[in-house]
Amino acid sequence: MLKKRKVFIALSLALLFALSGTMSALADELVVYSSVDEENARNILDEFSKATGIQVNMVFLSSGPAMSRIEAEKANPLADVWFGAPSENHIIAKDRGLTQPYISKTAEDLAGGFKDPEGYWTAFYMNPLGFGVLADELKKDGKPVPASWKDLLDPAYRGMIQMPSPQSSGTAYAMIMTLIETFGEDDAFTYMKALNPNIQTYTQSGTGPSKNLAIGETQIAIQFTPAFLKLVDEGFPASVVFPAEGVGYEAAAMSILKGAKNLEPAKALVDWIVSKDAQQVLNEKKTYFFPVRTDVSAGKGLPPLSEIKLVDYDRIRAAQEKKRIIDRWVTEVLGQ
Amino acid sequence: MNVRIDSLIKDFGSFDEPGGLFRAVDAVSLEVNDGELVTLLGPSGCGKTTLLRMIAGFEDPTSGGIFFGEHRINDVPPNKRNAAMVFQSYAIFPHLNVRENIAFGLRLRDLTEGEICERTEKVVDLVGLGGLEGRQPSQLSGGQQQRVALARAVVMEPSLLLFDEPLSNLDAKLREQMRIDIRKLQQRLGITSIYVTHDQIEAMSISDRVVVMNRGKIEQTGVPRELYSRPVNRFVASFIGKAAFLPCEKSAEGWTLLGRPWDPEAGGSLPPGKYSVMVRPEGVRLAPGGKEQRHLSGTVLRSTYLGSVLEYEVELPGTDPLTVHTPGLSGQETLSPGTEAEITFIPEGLHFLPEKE
Amino acid sequence: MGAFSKGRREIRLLARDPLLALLIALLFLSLALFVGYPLISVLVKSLQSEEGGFSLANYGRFFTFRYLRSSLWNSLTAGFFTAACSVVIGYTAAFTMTRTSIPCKKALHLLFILPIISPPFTSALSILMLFGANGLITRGLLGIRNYNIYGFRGVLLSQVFTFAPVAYLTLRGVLESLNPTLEDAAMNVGAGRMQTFTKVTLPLSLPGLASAFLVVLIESLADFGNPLVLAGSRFPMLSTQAYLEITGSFNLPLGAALAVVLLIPSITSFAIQRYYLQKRQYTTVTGKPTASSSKLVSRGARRCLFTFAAGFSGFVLLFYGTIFTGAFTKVWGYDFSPTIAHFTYAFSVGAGTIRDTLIVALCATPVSGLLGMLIAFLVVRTSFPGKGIMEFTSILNFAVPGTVIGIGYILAFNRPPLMLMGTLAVLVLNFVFRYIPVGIQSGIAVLRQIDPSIEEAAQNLGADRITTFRKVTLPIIAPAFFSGLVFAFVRAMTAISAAIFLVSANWNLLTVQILNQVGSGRLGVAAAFSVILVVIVAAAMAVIARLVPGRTGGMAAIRIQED
Repeated sequence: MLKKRKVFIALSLALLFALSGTMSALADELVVYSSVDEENARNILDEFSKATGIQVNMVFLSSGPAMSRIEAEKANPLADVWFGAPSENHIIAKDRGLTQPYISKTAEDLAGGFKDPEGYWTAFYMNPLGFGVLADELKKDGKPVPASWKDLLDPAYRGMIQMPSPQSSGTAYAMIMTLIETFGEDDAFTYMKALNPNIQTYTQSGTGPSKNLAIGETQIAIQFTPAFLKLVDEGFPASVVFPAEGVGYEAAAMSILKGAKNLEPAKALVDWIVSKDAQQVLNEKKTYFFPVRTDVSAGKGLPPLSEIKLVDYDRIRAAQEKKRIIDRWVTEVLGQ
Repeated sequence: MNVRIDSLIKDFGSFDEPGGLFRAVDAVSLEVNDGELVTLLGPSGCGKTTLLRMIAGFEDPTSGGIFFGEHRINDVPPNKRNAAMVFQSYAIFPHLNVRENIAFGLRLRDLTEGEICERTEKVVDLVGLGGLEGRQPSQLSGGQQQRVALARAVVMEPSLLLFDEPLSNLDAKLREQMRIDIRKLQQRLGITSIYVTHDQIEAMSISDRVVVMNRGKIEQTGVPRELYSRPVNRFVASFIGKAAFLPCEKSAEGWTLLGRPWDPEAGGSLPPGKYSVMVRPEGVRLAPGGKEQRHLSGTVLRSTYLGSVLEYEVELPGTDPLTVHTPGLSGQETLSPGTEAEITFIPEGLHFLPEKE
Repeated sequence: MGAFSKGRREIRLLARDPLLALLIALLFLSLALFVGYPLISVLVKSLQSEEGGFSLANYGRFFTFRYLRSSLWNSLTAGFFTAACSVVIGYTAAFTMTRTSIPCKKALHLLFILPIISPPFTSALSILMLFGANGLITRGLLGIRNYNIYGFRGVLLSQVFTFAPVAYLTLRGVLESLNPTLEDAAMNVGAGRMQTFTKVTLPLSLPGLASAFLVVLIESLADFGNPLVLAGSRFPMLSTQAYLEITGSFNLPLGAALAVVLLIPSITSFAIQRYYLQKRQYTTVTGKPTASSSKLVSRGARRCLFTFAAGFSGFVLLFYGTIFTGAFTKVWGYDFSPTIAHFTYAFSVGAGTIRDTLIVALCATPVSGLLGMLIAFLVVRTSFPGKGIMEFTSILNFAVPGTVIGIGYILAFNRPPLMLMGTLAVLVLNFVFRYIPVGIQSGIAVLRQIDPSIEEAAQNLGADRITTFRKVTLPIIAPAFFSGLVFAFVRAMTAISAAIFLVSANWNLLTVQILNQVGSGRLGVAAAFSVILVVIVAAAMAVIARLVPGRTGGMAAIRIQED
């Protein structure tokens, strides 16, 4: 009886191994660490597969975990491309020697701030940072709708705001840099300390706040705006607020990892993603991302950039200062 | 096959370990002849089981040799000694039925299925388990399990059979029956056997020879009759059966017992000196009456009816009370407590042990 | 001198059985490589500065940075309260099941242990759905708006729900082996019910209670999933901070240091539990669960206990019902129209993950079970130099939080000579050695119950040690072996704390997938994955229960009837 069972188990294991073995690429393959949220990443990369026939294997990782994973694997990289995450993260990766340069012809048309001069990274969409607000719910509770960063400090919002965690999300870091650019570093930290009691939770992923907004877990969410815009477009009772003092933005980029096993497919992705066709895909697939090519207009449902008071910050400095700033946040804001 | 034990010592622990050194078997030497059933008899802790386990290979001797025939087998692992053992707890494999239990050892050898079947069937009949081959151990009674253990050992046709108190878990009636069966089987098969027990009646009834052990040493080896009637010391005498020891002395004038003149009608060949005379309960005769000086007398303290014998406790001046067994059908009237009784000894039952100065 | 001569004797004995000696050597090597090496790597890394030189700065941070001290304090506080509540609930439940005759015992038992077969943070998920700002109970039922479940209360609630069943199982075993005749004896000489309970039952249960307390404490400290979801903004905890330092800030040395600090209370509790308490267990000699005497519990008490039991099971049903509902409704809290969209999405992104998880669990479980039995056999039946070390090392993983092990594996196997990161092997190895202690524990317990003369009988009849193990020991301990397998499989399927460090593009695990979905706010999808996971585990357990005759729910007591 025992023998039969052993044989059965051995056979099933063998079968499983065989099955998994045959899953290995017959066509060209590309392994991607994506900091773009899964749904959008899948939509975009599926179009890429359709256009080029290259199969994509994707793992979603917030920018923090993605960077750690890439650093941990640098001796033997398991992925080929880091797809998404604000550009300052890619600058850090470049400085740490984790990526390799590739200057794509199609990237020639991009403005200076959207690509690395040496080709180590290329941006492919941008997004402003704003608030998603359940205005009706707020009104029901007799609370005002915030219009500025300072408004968020109102004690009426105690425990009602969600934002991503600077410890794991590039979105949160972009927010901090925006605040620093707008108010100066020390004032920014004073602000964030004061904001802490109003924060319900710092989410692990950069897209957590919008999802929680959608199910009513939170009333105010701070995040890059595509998710909010999508909610509004779908008829959801949410509204998007761009803070009066200044609106930061991310230029989400991608880089090819040094030592990537599938180099040609990786280059193909860079070429494709900043092409006119791909940038149109951003609109077609309702990602609500802003394109980086000037000859592609923003899609439906996106407010024109001219109406938003964009605040830029030095990405290179942001890259250099990241560790110190995050540490400062953890100790001063989290450790209260 | 004969077995020879040569100055075997077994120590547990060591001087520098907590608890110190414990010598369980102390330079024991023994010879077991081919076809003999020798019993190791003694109280718990005397070393008999340790000795048996060393012979089986489950304990390693500290020094000394164990020989099967001419071969020294100290370093032979237990699974290669062909000395089948019947364990105290039977150690029947709970996951196998009776037939498979018995066949277990055979399956480890290069035998055909037919041979295994044949030998198993034969042994099943031999021990009287016919019809129970398919049962699970949990469905067997204690006696039946014991037979399975026996069958399992015997089917191996071993050169040596070892028994580790196999009957101690059975009730008295079953024990009696089983020991007769075991002895019959052993004699029929003629396998050299070593048997361990603390039950002296068991030892006496089935053994060719008995080895009495105490505290790791052999006290006396001999046939049962010899051990019973001619024990070499008090320990052996008291361990096998009941015994009383009365101080007596032989001088040129004759014997004195408890300070009074006495004619034992035995021990004539012994040199003068101080002795303890061993008296067994069945070797004492009581008769009512008699405060005559020439006879030994005592007061009956208690009488107990045991079925086959009447047991009396008689007070003797100058020594402990004496236990006396009188056959129940002796025709004698029961002596009630308080009666004065005349005490005489059966000469054949007396045994003299020299008293050390 | 004494130790050496004993060692030499043991080696001599081993030399006679070369196969055995080889086996022991291999085991030592594996344990050193896959248990010792990662742990030492963590320790070494924690003593490095970011540049690589020796430094105590990481530990120094505990004194300078408040948030680290808070994390430690929070973890300990949550741990103690969780342990206390779990033990109370578990003991009451165990008492109800073993000392009263209430109806539906089997169903209640199954419900009590249901939380064990799901990922540890499932409760966090349902708590969010029930008690969150838009929770069904908080807003829907009680009309409380914006109730903040994050923080201490959320963590406590989810951990108690997750670990009270563990305490229940342990304490049930304790109460089952306490001979109720003792209680009868007390009442016989005049003690009242409450007196009997306080003077007999409770004192005899005390070592078991302390033991259960410590076990839950260790589990709570190591718990990663629940705090990750529910700790919120102002209740940092050590296990999650260690994770965040490593994956977020890529500060390996600091993460390692936090892991080491997490290790200290865990190992201390473990040491106390094993070496002090286990010696004082008042279990009776017979291992059999004895029938309960219902005279100890009065009618009224029985009713109360039944209500309690029903209440707790009600909670379990509520939590699981929530997950189930969440998986099948469109948008929790807003739109309860039924849908299978979440499942469709789950299968589209997660089919590979489901397959991966099954492969890992199916590979790791039998290996873990067999190795566990083997080590148990060696520990109980043989003696060789270094046996104590082998026993200790193999159970060490019990005390070490998953986070620490995960970090250790990253550090140890991310560079030559063993580059295992990203492979199936690293996941399987991690699970095998993590859950070996379970197999060892149950193996030791069962082996100790087997009369050693059974194995001697086999040897006496000609079997060598390995054959004895194969043909006699293994079949007898099979039921315990299979229950150990079940446990290992369940754990492998529901593990998160170490797994989260070891997944890769090639091999992903369901639990990580669920957490990702929660983190991204897709509660419906997370619920769908959870349902899939629980169904797989339940199915596997049912299959194993079918294949194995006899009880798999407890230790098989090997007893031969005696007249």
